[in-house]
Amino acid sequence: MTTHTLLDTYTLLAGAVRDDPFLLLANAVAWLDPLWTLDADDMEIEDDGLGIALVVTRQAFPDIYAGAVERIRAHLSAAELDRFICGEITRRGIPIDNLEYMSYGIPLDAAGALLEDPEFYTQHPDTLPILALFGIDPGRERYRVEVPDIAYTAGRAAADSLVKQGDAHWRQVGWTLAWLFSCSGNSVIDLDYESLMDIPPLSWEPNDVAFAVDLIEEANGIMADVNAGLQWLGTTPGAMAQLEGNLRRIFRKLKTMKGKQRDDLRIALEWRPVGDSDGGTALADPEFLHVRGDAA
Amino acid sequence: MSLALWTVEDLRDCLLAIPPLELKGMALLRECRPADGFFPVGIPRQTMVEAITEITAYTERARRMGEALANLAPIPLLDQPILEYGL
Repeated sequence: MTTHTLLDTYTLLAGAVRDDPFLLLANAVAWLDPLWTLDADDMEIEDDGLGIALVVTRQAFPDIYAGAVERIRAHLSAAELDRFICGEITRRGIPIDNLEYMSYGIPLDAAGALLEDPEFYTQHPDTLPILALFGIDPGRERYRVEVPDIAYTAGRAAADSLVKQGDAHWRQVGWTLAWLFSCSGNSVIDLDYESLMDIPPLSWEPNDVAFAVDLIEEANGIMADVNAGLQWLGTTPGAMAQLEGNLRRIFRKLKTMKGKQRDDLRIALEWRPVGDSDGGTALADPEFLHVRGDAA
Repeated sequence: MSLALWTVEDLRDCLLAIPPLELKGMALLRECRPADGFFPVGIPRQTMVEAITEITAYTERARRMGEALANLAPIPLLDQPILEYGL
């Protein structure tokens, strides 16, 4: 058989595939969706990360799946595919650096502050001066730091007032307190790793993916404000003094209240612009501060 | 024609009368030259995404339909003599 005959045979077969709708469909599936028999329901967590990633991208990110199929056809290695898929999913707003994590649902990085954990203060020494205003002193505690409930009530009251301020710096301080006292309303910010693990993970269904992207984007914005607030307080003694003064007023008021009464705290707070503050509409709290009963 | 009067032959004729499926990926394959091989390359990314999105939706529907057909409840044929049974 000559090369010419072989080429003729190939052309004949290719033509036959093109002319027969059934064969053409089979070829299209083999070309564009070679993993169509993979079923997410049949896959186990122990299965390889790449297989699960391909099933997930096939359902949730068809364009990433398209890129992965192209790379499989180009004989790229599993490690290169891993990098490609992780990079693309990260670009869509869901940071991921290892495909094996995909088996457990959408990975979320918990940023929650665990004030009872002495390790927290090692990792975030810049929070110590602020937390000292709440009577929280990790000292040399090795196992557990005592955080009185009243500190949480005061922290949440101050945060609630601050995030409503027009002045950007004070708003950022509000988010700093919302992070420290777990009251931002964003689960990624309010929950520590273990608490987040107790919640069923988000699936890779399109609705959950969209929700996770919003959640992570909001959390990133909050954490940027948290860090800006920490930095401003750390470099602006006037702001720290004003925060201390308002916290003293909150604590004084709280000490006159008992138990559940504290959930109904009403106090007017004033946050004046300090240093290079933009001023915004930093007026005294126009309404009496009210801590929601369900804040905890 | 009433559904109750349908025979297996009617059903087969009906299925055969369905026009062939036309998916974007099939059109892309039809347009490619023999030299492009069975799996052409160099298709614009957006076109590939549209074709893959369409075909994955199709294969998913087909897979679920196959599962549903595999799990159909059996239909007892009470008036059909089974000659082999006597053996």
